[in-house]
Amino acid sequence: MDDRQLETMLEEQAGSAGPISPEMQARIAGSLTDSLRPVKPVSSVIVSLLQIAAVFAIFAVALVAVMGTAGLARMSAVQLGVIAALIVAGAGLFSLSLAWQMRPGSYQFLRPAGILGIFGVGLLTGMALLFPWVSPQAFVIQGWPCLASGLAVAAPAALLVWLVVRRGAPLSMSAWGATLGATAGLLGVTVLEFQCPHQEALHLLVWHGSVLIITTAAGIVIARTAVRFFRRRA
Amino acid sequence: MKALPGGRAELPARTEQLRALMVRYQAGEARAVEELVGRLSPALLRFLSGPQLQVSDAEDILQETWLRIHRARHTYRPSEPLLPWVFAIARHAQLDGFRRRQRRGRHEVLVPEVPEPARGETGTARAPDILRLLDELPGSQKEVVWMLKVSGMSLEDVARTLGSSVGAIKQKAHRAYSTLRKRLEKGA
Repeated sequence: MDDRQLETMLEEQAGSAGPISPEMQARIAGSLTDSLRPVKPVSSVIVSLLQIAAVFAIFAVALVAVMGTAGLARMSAVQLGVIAALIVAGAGLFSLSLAWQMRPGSYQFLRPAGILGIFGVGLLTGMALLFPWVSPQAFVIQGWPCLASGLAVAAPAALLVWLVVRRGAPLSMSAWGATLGATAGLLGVTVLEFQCPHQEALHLLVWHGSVLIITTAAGIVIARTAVRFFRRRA
Repeated sequence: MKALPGGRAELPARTEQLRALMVRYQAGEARAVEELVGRLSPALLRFLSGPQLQVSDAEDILQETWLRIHRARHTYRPSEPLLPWVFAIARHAQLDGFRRRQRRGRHEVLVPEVPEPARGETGTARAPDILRLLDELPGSQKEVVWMLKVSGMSLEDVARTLGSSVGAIKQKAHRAYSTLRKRLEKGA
């Protein structure tokens, strides 16, 4: 049997479905026309991408201006360059992923989980390789304020990004929540990288990295809870 | 009102008409909704009908799909192809329906009952075999073959619907074909 014969057999199945009753079609159309009103299509992927990236950049610059740049003085040119490149790449990828997820059927080169995984591993590896491993002094006392600041920055950031993407119709709420949470978490990490004077590998991995992990997990939990809540109400 | 044909070759010719209908739907034209429902529903029902799914379940998912399409209609952009947008929504409605049935199944005591087949019995003598073999393929391969050959979508449309690349879709289709061919020859 060749491919042609197989294709013919499969295509025969295309016509084998029973017809849909006119009553059912009328019922479906009726339920839709009841709440029919004109809608404005969402903007293109590139416009959404730029909007999300702009919100990220403006919010990050404003917060760095307020919270200070003590961390900058502790970084070498290489450390600063690589971390800045990773943050820009992450912000771009997360914005792109959100813009894709807003529209069902978008041609996605990378799935949300892939983007989150690649970026997460990249950032943590960069932190581990670029910054010195020194024995921690007052590890927790120095660390938890960073975690708290990062999360405090991420919460309003998530709200701002959500305002930009709220017209979207994501198909997977978990992926949507994770990407939104990760975007907000990355903004928290960005502010911390500029502001935190403890530029040591262990501190960065544990306390700054935790911001990204916690916000991503929180995004998934919030999205799933919202789905359950609205399902129950429906 | 002519329904969307099942054959792959006839689909592209209707793409522009469907797109125009969707734009009119977005503009709030009730006639366009009726026409779009009439044209897309048979193809959607075919896509949603799994071999082991009862007609009533498939029709429930079809209605749910249309409600989701309605709620998300502003996310369709006229410059983009319509079918991947529609089928991506349908696919997730199908997945949610499957999860719902699984949850329901855990709480229900099943009584012996012969399920009503979702498809008509109008296929050729070999049709039940190919459907059974198709159903035995791994989930992602089955989905790809179903969209390409039974729903009549293009490679790029299937890639968009599944959020994958054209290369990956080609590979899955190739693997599925090889498996189907081998199993058919074995059974012949």
